[in-house]
Amino acid sequence: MTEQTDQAVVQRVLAGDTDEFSTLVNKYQDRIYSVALNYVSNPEDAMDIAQETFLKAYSNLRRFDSASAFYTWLYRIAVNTAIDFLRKRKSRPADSLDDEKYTEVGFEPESKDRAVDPEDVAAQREQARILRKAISMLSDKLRAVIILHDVEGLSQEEVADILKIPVGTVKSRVSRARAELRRILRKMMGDAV
Amino acid sequence: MNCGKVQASISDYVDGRLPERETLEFEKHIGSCPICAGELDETRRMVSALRSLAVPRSPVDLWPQVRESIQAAERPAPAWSFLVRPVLIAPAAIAAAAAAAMLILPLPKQVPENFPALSASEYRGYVTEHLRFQKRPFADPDVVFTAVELDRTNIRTNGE
Repeated sequence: MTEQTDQAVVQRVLAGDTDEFSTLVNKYQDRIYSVALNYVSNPEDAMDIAQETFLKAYSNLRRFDSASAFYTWLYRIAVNTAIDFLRKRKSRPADSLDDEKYTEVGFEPESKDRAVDPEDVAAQREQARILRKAISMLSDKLRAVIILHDVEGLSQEEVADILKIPVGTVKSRVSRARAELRRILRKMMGDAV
Repeated sequence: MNCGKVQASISDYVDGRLPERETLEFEKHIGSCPICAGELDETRRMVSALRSLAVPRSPVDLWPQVRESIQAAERPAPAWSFLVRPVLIAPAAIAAAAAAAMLILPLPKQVPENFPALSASEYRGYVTEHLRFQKRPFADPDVVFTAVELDRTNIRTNGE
């Protein structure tokens, strides 16, 4: 679906067809959930954040500036919702990072593909856990660019649009965030990334 | 290009954002500097690992929950809802005011007016006995009263 049709869907929702909003939810729920999960590391919290993101988007749909892409606006809401969530959670211990009951894709059952080596799966899971923990130790600004650019694979221009900062700032933050992340990972893994 | 410049350019190089001329200089340096080559390799592996964190799909379809929340928010309030507010708010306001008053107003003194004037030694004996009783199981520790007694004992002791 092209961006033009996103705009068309938005117009139909604004005209009163609430169920049309399902088109946007179905289209972007995976990406928004992924961003949320990489912020909070807990599938339940990530789903709450994703749900809240879509609710906020629906409630503020009239404020959406059709000059920009709908998905960058949605990402911005998701990032802000995740940051708010983490600020509220600061008083609670961050237990979810070490929670082993979840698979990497949330509540998905583990793969039943016999060709998959369980040791590889375990190693990948451990790597993901360590990476998410390291990401959680970054500042809000650096965490946002790492998640959007390096994890979600968005371009620096898209990240700039989402975070409302110049592309040059995104570029320098990506560089700083990677250097900081490497430093954290070295520290966590005893100089063996 | 020296090591400092190369290491500052690693991120741009990995993203393919280094200008062509700088790219040539960068690669020339990397070819002859194992330290910078190691830094580049480490960054590449980390960036590749980060990409693997992206979740391919949401574990559940969010639309039913989102629709339910939208409908709940848009549901008009019942005609009698204006009656609920005063009924709920008035007792809550009264309770809050009472709680605030209890915090602000001074508590009445626990010492009776005709409390006997005893000597310091008598007081000490009385307090010791009182504390001994308090340690007994199921005894009712009259903490406020004991505190006042101790206070008065100190006053009298200091006054002796």
